[in-house]
Amino acid sequence: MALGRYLLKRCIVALLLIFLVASLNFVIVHLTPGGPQTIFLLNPHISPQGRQLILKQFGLDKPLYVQYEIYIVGMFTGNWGTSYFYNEPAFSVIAQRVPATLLLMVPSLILTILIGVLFGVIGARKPFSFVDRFLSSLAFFFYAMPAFWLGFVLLTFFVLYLHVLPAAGMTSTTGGGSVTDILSHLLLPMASLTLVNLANFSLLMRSSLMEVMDQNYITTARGKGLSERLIFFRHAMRNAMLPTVTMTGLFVGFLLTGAILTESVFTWPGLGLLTFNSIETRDYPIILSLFFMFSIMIITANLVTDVIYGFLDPRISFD
Amino acid sequence: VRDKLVALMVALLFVVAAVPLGSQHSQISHSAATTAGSNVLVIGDTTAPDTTDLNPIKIITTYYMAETYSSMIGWDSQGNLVPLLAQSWSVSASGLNYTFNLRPNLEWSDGQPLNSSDVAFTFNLITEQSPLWYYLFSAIQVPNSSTVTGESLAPGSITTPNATQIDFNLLTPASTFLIYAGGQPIYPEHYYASQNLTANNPNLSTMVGSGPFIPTSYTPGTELDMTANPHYFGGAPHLSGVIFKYFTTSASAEIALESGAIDLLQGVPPPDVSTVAKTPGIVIGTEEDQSNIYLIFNMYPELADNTTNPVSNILVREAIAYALDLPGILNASFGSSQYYKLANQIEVPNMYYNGGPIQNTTIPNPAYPQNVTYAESLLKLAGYPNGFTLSLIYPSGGIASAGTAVTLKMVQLMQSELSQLGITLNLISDDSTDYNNVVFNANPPKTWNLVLSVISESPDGDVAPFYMVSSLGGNSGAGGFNAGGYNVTAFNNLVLEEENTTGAGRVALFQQIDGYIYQQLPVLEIYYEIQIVAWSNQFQGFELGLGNPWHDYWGSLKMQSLANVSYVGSATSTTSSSSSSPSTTSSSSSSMTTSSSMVTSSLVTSTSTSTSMTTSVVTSTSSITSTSSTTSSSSSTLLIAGAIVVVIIVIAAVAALMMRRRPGGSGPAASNPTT
Repeated sequence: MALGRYLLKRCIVALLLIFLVASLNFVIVHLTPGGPQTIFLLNPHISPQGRQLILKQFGLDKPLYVQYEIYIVGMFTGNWGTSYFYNEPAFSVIAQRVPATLLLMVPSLILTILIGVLFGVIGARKPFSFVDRFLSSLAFFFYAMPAFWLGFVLLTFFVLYLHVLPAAGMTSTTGGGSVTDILSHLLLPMASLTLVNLANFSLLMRSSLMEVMDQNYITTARGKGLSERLIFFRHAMRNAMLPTVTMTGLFVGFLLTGAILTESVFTWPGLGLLTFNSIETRDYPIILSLFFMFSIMIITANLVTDVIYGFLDPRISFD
Repeated sequence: VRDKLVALMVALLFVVAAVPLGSQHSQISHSAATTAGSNVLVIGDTTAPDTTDLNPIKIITTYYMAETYSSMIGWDSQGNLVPLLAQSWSVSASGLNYTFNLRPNLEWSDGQPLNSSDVAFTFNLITEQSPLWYYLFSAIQVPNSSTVTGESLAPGSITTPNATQIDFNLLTPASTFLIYAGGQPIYPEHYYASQNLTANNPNLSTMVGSGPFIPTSYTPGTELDMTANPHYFGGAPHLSGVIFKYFTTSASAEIALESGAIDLLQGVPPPDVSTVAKTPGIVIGTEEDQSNIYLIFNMYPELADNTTNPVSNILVREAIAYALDLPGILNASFGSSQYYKLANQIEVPNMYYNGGPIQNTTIPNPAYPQNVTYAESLLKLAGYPNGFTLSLIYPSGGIASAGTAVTLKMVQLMQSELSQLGITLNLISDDSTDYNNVVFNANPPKTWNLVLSVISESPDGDVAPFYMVSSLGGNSGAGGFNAGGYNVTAFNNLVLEEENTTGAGRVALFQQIDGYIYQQLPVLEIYYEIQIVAWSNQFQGFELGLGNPWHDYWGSLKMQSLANVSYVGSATSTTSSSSSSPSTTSSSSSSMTTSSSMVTSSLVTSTSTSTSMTTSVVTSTSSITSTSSTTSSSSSTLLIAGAIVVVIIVIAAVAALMMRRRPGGSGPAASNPTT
């Protein structure tokens, strides 16, 4: 009952938020200098009249408030407009890229969480031991690297020196598409994403575990004579997981936004690359649809995180 | 002890992870050809086409369709017109009637006949539906408010007396009609007539063409697949297909080339050439393309913010021209004189006029030899003895394909040379969309004094004067290409006269135009771009050079010539270069007699770093490619792998040991010291 009311309230707020963000997106995109027509300036053959014709085809000759109305109504009714440079509905252009992004981001996120939590647990079991400091340093080492630079290092090393992994893309040029083929293409971008994000989870897990282990109820548990193992995994872990869940929620929000830099370096045909290219050409329908989708993703992920919180932490109620 | 054990285990894990990777090396072949089926050429590019580029009426980047659709006339590397779909053509003495005769028995890739009605269909399609390209054929068009473009073909302007003959009847003479109409790719009527190309792109899985390769599938931003056309009029291509792979950064593309994932890379940045050339089995070719890089002077006396614009004064423009040591600046920026060609204030170094280069000798060479004292006296005369401040806008991604580093060095050297005159040059970099907006789209008077810009010239030489410095092709106003706003009636008339002149008189008009630009300096031309192409010596037959004016070239690689490219593998490479590019070699020897040659082709191999104007033989040592080289180096690469892993572990371990001093205290991530 309380949960239902809470959800309803949150959903209304979320919708309002999405509307505000969508409006803000429109303003930001139209504030960026230049427009889709500027790409045609590169070709001197295209006459000013021709450029006007193109603007008309794009619907950019209409007053801005009319464009805004078309945009907002379209976004909430599922008509996301037609891409200028794909000549296809923006929704289908985006939908084609979603699987590639999920294929990269989901395993990488799972791997990051698993290894991160593992590192954190190992470290927190024996804080300030050699192993703890070693793992922390290792996580910091990769965290400090720019993702694209690590990507190039991995590429140079595994592709140019070892010749063991393919250079770019998601599948081989021909005969590609098998599971092993895609996996071999996936390995490097996934590894670079995982390594760079590792510290987020391992350090968080470690510090929250250590914090929990100092709590009174742990002392109580020790006093009851429970084994250290039981205390650690049953009593401490559950509470220490909370910040990690928040972090996971934030990362799930970024799942679809893709890793723009990593996708660029590895030419991974996902949403990150699409975002990058669309911003370059000012393909408004694609940019706005992507931003719209990202905001929905992040707002939803936050909502879900809050709900999960309630189940993990009995102290939180949905009133 | 247990801690140490865990650390050891983690270290072992890394080593173990590296070992199976290292041992698999032999399964991966160096050549993309072997992985992609030996008869497929994989080409790398850093700019992916939009899907609209595969739509005949919406193309912006033209070379993919130039591969798919043949035109009636092409150009050889010396600028001679050569027959493609048309076997002959003629122009009437009045310059108003053009006749093209197609080859007999031409076929589309689906076996349907290609005839004159397809040609008539094409010009009708472009005229009525292509906002981007209808403009080229204004001489046969009349206004019509019911079409997308607002134009339609003038009645009787195109007639097809029989299946192979097409007659064009122009309303006014147009000097460029022959090359634009002849160079227009011809589209299949039976395939496109029923399609609504404004609303939908053609379906690639059923696409029909007349060029050597036809697109079969495209994953936007990633890969474009093309298959050979068995009905190609020049005979079935040797390759079974061509694949374009797209990269966001040239560094990724270079890694792909060096690893053999791609076979050809167009537009290698000059600073990276030496690294790429070191890779065994890679051939480097350079070729001038038609990009002219130049400085635009803002011609308005006041800028948008009402400040005085000194460069609107011809004396100041001359002072700047004489103050710059352009050869020195370019040599220092590119690192070698191989990668640019000095422009010397001539629109096109060799104008191609009705087949054959014509050298313009009316401009002194160099046009403005560096003379700082003379430049200083010009500034004094102009009333600026103490100098002034100017702004220079340049694209942050680099000008044309020079790359960021080369471009930055170029403008910085200009900055330092102008500072000798007391001119402070503020360098402003803008991303490409911003740049186009500020430079071309903004209303005059603009906000800048100088802009580093590029214009793609057609080999005929009509583009630059018309669009760059006259107010004829899109005025100096918003959206015009004439960004500086140079607008002089006498000059406009001269250009108009050239546009409407067919016959030998055009050459004299071009020389007058060049002379005008030399004296008035509305733009300072800097260099012509040299494209650098790198490819695997397992393929031969590439032809670098000019394409037809409708961009049947990609930088410098002639798209239709890919029909002659074949896979030779590594074994037969001793014979590779002798036949690799017959036209570039023959043309370079002949054009070297003129001082500025349009075609300066050279082949550099990984073993012979010297550039040679004749063919250089790819030696067999370089062509025994990676299969052997990787085997011999496998142990060393494994060692390097191990070494790197060890280094990382040592770094982490050292860091761990250094943090040792504070056990139990507030460590790096201990957020809750209980007090």
